[in-house]
Amino acid sequence: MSSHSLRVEPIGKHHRPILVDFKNQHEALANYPRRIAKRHLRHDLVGGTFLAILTDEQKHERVAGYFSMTTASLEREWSDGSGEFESFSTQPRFPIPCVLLTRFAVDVRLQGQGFGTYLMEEVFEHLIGALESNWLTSRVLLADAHDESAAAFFEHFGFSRLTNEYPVTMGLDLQRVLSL
Amino acid sequence: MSEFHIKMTPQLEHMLEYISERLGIASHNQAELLRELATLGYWVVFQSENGFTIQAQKGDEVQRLEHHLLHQLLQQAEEREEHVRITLLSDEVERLEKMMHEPIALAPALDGVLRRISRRERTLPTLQWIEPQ
Repeated sequence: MSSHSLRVEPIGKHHRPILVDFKNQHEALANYPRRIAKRHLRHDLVGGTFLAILTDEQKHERVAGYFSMTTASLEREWSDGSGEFESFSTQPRFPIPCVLLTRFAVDVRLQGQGFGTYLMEEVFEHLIGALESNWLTSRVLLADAHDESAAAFFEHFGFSRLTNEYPVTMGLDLQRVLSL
Repeated sequence: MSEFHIKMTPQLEHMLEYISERLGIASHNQAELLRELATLGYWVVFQSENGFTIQAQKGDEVQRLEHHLLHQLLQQAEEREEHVRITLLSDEVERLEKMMHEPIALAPALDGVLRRISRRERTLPTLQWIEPQ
């Protein structure tokens, strides 16, 4: 099985036949790429949905996983309704520009084999490329964790939980990534 | 006759009566009924707009609320790949501050990811398609 090759590319209508077989324990995550493959979507280096496609020795293609990203901003709710910035020196200045990993899914038949980590490398490669080219500004990488195992997966990479209810919003300070 | 009254049918009237009765709202207190309906309806629409499906659950039995307008909202939420605004509550802002001001220490897993990317040493793991038990 090690002779698999993998490519990652933006989703398109032509992927519909191979998306039929994609399985994930969350129905919404399994169905999402099938549904949006019907339409042409805007794609750029970061925004959009990217499929990871495995090809075996017989040139048989299968979707191993995918991720979707978009730009986002973190804002705070003002309890007094004024909307004015309170000038505490330690507080970050809102709104904070972010990239949001809206969906990250590995086919259930490949889980537990290190493919999730490999797909995360793809995410960071996309992201770092965009940040280093200076056309994208983002301080925080956010991810939606749909269950506890997903939250634990993101925590493994240093994400912190920002919210409590599922999907839990997880955050990673990108300044650490860029300062390397 | 108001448009509201024109659109009222016996079935709708029955539904409103049912809701008033079950929620213990006096039949003449329409303002109270409207307030409760708006509160319930707002929550349902808000959840759908944010991509949540609405389900009723009793034990193992689950019934999903199906409505064409909510279905549209759910689809729009799923397909929204534009700029997203996330509003944090005060305790969530505190967590964010903590995350941004903690001493810099990369998680070993992230450190490994970044090292492999920078050295172009990424290797696809050996994979097998294993059907779940």
